[in-house]
Amino acid sequence: MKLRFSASEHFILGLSCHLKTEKCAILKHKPIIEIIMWHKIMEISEWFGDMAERYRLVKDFNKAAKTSFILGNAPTLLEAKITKGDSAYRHAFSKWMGGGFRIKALSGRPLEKSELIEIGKVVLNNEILTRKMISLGWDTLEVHANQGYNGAKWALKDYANIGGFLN
Amino acid sequence: MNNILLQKKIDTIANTVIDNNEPLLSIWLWIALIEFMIIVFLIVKLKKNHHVLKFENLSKEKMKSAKESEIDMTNLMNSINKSKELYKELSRYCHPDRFINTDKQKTAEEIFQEISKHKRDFKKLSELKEKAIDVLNINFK
Repeated sequence: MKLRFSASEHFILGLSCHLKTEKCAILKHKPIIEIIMWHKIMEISEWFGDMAERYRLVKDFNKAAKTSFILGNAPTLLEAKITKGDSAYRHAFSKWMGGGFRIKALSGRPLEKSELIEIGKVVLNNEILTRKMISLGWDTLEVHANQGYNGAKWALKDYANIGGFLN
Repeated sequence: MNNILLQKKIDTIANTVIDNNEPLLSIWLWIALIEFMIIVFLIVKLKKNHHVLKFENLSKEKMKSAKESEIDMTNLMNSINKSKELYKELSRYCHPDRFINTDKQKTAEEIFQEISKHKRDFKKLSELKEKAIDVLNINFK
């Protein structure tokens, strides 16, 4: 039976062979199970790391928005939260039931279309932020006010080509 | 009398036959339902496999570097609230048409291009404003 390994698994296999100072143990079952288990543990820890990073980004955004509002730099208070997102905007890293990044403007009045677009475009034109959001599993950016029925949403994948994010 | 008794017997036999058939039918119904669900699941899975999502071939290193990048949230907030006004001001004062037939025309064109490129980046626009004051000797009111 032929076994296929990814680059990281090859590296771990090589490391385990080296550490055990045995003949290569790739085809023995016990180390393979250990390696697969180790790989799964790494994946799970990575998942928790991603989740923590997502919540940290939202928290940082809300904190900055609050500070800006208190200092008088911002006329409206912005609030970010994680939503379901649009399934039509999905990409390979989209999080299930958590692909939406919603910015709510607590303005107390319905925002005009141009105002909504301006907020969204500032976020999308920030190359580093867009890349980070995609890599952390967001696929949709939503902007709306706390009053009125207007809202805008964008697919993040359409704004990721900037700066050569894609190969 | 005999006919009546015979009819009653036939009725009871028919009832027992129907009673015996009922659970058998329901079992076949359940089996058919499960089979149908399996077929639907397989069709959905097959269709999903053909659908290629974007970024599937992206390397892990690129993803990791994107995840670890730091975001300047203060600049983001300033960009949301102030960049539009600053851009308007800069594009008005640094427009190359104001420097026609002068030695600063080329510099003004370069600065104006940079301003247009970073029209929603407050930090970059502030730097360009400083540059415009130094190089083009503009007095912003």
